[in-house]
Amino acid sequence: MSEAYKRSHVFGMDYGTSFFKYGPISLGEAPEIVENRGYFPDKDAIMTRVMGESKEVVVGRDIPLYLEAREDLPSRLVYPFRNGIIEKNENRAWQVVEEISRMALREFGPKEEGFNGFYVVASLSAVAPRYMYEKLFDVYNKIDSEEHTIAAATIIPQPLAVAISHKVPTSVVVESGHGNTQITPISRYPVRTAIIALNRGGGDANSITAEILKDSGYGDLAKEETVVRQVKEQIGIVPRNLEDAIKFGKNNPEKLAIVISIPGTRLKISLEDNGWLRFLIGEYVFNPNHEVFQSYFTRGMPKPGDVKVGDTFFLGMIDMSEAIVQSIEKCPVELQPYLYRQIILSGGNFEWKVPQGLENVCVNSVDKIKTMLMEKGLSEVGVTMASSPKYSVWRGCIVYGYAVPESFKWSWDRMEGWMSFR
Amino acid sequence: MSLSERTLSRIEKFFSKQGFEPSGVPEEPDELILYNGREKVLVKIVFEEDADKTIVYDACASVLEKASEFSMVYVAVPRNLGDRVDTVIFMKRGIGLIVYDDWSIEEKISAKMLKKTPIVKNQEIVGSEVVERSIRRLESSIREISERIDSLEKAYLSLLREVREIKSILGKRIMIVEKPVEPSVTKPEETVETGGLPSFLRDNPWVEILSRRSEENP
Repeated sequence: MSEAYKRSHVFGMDYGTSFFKYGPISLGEAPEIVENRGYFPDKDAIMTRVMGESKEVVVGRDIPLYLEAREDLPSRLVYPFRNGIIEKNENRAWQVVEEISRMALREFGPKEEGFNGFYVVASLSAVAPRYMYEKLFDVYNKIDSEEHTIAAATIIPQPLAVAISHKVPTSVVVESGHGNTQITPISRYPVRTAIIALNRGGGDANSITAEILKDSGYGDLAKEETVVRQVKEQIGIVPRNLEDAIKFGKNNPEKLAIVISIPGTRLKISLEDNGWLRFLIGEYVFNPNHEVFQSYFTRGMPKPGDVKVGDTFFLGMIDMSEAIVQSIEKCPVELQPYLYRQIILSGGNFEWKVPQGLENVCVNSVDKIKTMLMEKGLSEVGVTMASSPKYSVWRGCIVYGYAVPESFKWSWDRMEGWMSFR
Repeated sequence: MSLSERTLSRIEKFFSKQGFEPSGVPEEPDELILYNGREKVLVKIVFEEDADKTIVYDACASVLEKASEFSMVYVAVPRNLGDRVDTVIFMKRGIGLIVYDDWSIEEKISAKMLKKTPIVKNQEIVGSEVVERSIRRLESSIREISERIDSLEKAYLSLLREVREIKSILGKRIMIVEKPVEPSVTKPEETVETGGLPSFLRDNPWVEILSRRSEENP
């Protein structure tokens, strides 16, 4: 097929931890978004039998129509990429991946004469092991053999996609999602040997928020993940310096007192005298080593440990600036100054706001990382927040598919190129 | 399509499910005028997610100014903003509030009927019968068209399969008599055209870098 055909039929698929973003190049600036999850209805349920519904797994916007009020709901609702990695034998997770990919391709094709399949560019976590690439290609092969919708496919790491969409060929991408954080130096190619992964993400900020809720007398709400997440988003703040911030908070409790409500409910949560606890939520994401966190660990809050998932070690307690420095120092010395100048923060776990009146003690993620790196003696650093973080990986996928020539075939050594199934 | 255009079209779809269709050209680019044969509705959309609440109240003032020309008026705002605004003003003034996000659109407060088109009762009954007849006609046409599309789709797929098979047979025959065609290699000085493309593709140095991948890895 011609380069012109390929360029007009590039299709991006970003398998994020919470959301799946997909769509062809013709969508323009923004992709379609659905929650990256699948629901396995109870096939024995009376309603399922009466309705004659035979779907094994339901994905996309239809899920709420199938949800049953059952106690085993959490086990039927599968989020395959919760930690960025799917185990080889997690069959239900792979089933969701297949179904959601199939849904995406069906939504946009084929509608024109001469349609011969999309050039699919998928994006996985930087720490995804090789078997995930193999499994995903198997999924695409199966879909193409049944529906002829994939002319060729390729898979790229999410941080590379972020760097591409930001038009920066040399950079360090720090991607922090729900389950973990990946630090990936990029110099035209991802420097795979320098990738560092942290076993810490938005989920851990939720854990400390749940503990704060318990301490403030809302122990019953602390069990509901969605409520905890909403509370975290509304009250969490990042201190410039934790000790100064705690001192400020204890001396000025009225400035940090907050009452929030949960949308769509009558619930109101009030943090009056202990508003200073809000600083702990933001600090924990960047550095969980302060002694103030010890009391939470002692009382049973899970401490982020070092774990091995697939072939990758995820470090638990290392502070974020130290991880960035370690990652950059694994690259050639000549390259290091250029990497420090372009640090791109991406992902929902970096979206922290600075409330009015607290500018002296609170910072956003960019300033936090800058401050932490300066404390390590690095003054010439450039840190930026990814613009449109929700879309940047999908956009990178589209640029990649548009530019990489069709003649560049997939290489398992380089983990790049187009894989064709026909 | 820009984000604001997509939001406009999603809100238009939301109303079309209730029988409304776009009608006339609005005065402002952030407005929609919709009509269902009886009621004329004005919707003003606030696009900025991090907008101040005052922008919402400005939007309310703007729709109230034009309310005399419409049966109902609405203001549509991003969900995070909609959750923060004071809804009393909407209820008191009869303005409808629509909240939207990337996944859903919801009518948080229904608009009050401000003005009804004065129609003599008999004419209304006759009119509604005509409308019902037209709807029935349209429904049957839609059914017919969708059946035709189904059968065309099936025919198209089977033809596509046949064409693929023929191509693969021909391809094998040609390979026997012809020399293999040299794969076209992009010349180093050749640049990839990115004009008229989305902003993230334009002037992106990666396009040039990635287009040389096959040369770097023969």
